[in-house]
Amino acid sequence: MTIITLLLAALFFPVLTGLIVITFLTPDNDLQPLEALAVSYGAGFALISLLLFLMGLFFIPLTVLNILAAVALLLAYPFYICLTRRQIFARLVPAGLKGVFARLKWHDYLLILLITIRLLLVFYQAVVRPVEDIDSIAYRMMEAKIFYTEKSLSLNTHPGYFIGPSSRKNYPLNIPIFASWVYSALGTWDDAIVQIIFPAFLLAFAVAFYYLMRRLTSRSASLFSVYLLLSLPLLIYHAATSYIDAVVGFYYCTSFLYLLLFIRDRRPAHFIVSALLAGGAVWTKSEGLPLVISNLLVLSYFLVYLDNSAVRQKLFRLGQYAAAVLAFLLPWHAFQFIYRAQMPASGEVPVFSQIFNYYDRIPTIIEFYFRKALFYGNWNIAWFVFLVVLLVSVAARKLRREQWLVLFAIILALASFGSVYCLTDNWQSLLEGTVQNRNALTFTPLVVYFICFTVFKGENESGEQSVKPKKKNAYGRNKR
Amino acid sequence: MKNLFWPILTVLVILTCSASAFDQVNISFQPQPGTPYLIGRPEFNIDTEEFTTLSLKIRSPQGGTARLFWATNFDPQLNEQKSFNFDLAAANTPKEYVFNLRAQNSYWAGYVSQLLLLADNGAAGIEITEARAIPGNFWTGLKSSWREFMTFERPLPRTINVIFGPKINGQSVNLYIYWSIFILSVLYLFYLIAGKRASSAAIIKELTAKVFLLCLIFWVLLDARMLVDQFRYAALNRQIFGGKTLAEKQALSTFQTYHDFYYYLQRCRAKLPDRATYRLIVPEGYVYFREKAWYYLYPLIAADSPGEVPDYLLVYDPQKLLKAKDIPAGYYPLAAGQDGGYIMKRSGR
Repeated sequence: MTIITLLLAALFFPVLTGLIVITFLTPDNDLQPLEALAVSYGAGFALISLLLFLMGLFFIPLTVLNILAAVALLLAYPFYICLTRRQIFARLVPAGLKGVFARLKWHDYLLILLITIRLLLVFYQAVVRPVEDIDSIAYRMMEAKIFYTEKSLSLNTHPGYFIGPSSRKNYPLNIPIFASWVYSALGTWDDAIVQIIFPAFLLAFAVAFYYLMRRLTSRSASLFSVYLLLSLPLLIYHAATSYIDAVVGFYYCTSFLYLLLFIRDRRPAHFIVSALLAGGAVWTKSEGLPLVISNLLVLSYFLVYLDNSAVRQKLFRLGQYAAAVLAFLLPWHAFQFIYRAQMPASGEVPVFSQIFNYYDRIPTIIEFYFRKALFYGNWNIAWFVFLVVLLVSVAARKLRREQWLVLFAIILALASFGSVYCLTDNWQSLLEGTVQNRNALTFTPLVVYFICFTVFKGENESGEQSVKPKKKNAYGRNKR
Repeated sequence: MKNLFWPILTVLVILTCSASAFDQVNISFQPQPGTPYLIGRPEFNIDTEEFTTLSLKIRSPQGGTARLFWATNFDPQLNEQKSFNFDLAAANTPKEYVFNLRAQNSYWAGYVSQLLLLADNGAAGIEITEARAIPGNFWTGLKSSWREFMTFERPLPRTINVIFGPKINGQSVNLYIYWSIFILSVLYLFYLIAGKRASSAAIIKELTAKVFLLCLIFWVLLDARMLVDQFRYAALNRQIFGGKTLAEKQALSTFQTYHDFYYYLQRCRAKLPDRATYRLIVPEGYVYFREKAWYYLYPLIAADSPGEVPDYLLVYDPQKLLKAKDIPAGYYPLAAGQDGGYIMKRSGR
């Protein structure tokens, strides 16, 4: 087999895994075929790396055979159930593709062309270069090389090689473990071609974003929304590197938007997808946790104020979401708790003692946010348009619930990162300009969603949720 | 009085011509043998208050980027803050480059005594046929702004966290966009108020729609500009990495100045047994060499902690900056190479 075939097989593996898990957990077919494939990539990616992590903890060698056997063993029953329901085939057979190219207008073709060009550029940029940025090497790709070489997690407590030779050992292992899987599947350590996993996230993001918008507006407006999303220069740049902030951005933003979708239409599939992707966010980078807290808060708001079900059911629902997140979070934290004693002290400072010492930093942080958002090339003019749209919506008193929730998530993310800059050593990194833009990458796609929601959602639509699930329309989704 | 008309006119014309002759400062750029730059000496010190603009006619057989530095009598050093980047087009005939430096760089101040043009691809074949500092006008300002706006901002590995975006006269183009949206919106508001007798609610609704439309138009236009850079970056990567083997790519991505370091590491990897411990010795200031060694040498194990005694010392010193005291005692040379790197083994092993 050529390396391309092996690579495609390695990438299809998480897609299939995610597809089976999502299909098994959600009997109703509530996702479009392409959409299901897109979210399955993210969910399956995180699930496989979590499984490999657990295998490594139990000293099971991370060989291709072992990995395939473990996945086959775990997915056998869900796959059987999916087969009996005939769902898995319904999703894989591209029935939904038939209508995609029908009735396209010239501007749709133009938008598809622009989106395709952008994606092709990103894929090309990613695989033509090897890993070269020091942070990528130190925090991810070195670990991936170790896992691949050792066929294990390398629990050697030598200072340099305990889960990678980095000084900061608290980075979760979603990306390094999956990269090591790609190396294993390819049978070689090729750190150029492995970077294809990063633009694949951008592709998945674009597809998921399209279908999220498509439920609200026309095809052309949805395509234009995807085009706007892909016009964020820093997102495009990061999607072609082995930095992981764009990946966290995919996980967090899609999980949040599917949660909003669930609040709107109460479909279990959207809830499950949101929970799995939120788990992926916390399993990719520590920054995922404070972001995902906004999901839990929004879900709590929904359960308390909008959901008419019994209290026990509400608690069960919240517990389900939290359990999905914890399933990704706890093994890693337990592992750190057990092994940290053997590692050198990290010299962390308890931040709560500093809360009242550094309040004078707040104006500087706000100024940095303001300048970086509005006067740099990172985000095109997305933040400016967001402010305009927000101002107009507030002035016209037309801010809908969904917009309020997105606004809440953005403000919470700004406050979370702001407090980290204010209270920790990240203050220095803020001044040096090394972290703020990357952190903003994790939630700025929500800004684009806010704009597109406001501008493209039809005036005749209320945007408010009804308690009852909606009927299906011709599009196959919920009639609004 | 009538008789004096022609003599006075003649004198005025002569004075005007003389004045216009001094309305520019010619600069002579000369290549320096064996160096990648050209030194420019003005015929007299350039008063930056008056001569705000630089016009260069450059013939360059190969494209790429170049950086222009200048020294002033206040700050005679050639340093990064008194410099700017620009794209050099491949051209066999001289191509004009106009830079409104007064607007683009606040360090274009005082009296400029020397200039230096550094071409990234080397100065071989580059010729500056004409160089002059001029006061500048609307047309040169426009040409300079367009060049600045279209300058390729190539991301560097350590600037991965920020994209500065296109600029005009040293200011982010976003600023111009915000002002344009504001001014056009106000003008449209006046147009609506003056031209139509609609209700204020209808005016606000229409204005809002137009503001959104304006925002999206500028968004798309700016994206088109960014797309140009993304194509340029892809082309640059293709030029550097396209068609290369993985080892060649890794070498090229390992410190442009010292990519022989990668081959040195490969040599070490081949010579040392798996799991051997090593310590990399490099001169002070060789940042990130250690991390690259960690990455490329694994499964050799770095023993960098205090108190650890590695089996091997990997010494990389292409500039001969290390002193004897920098090399721990108890090791003997095992293999030396032409790349400034050698391997030392622990005595008695």
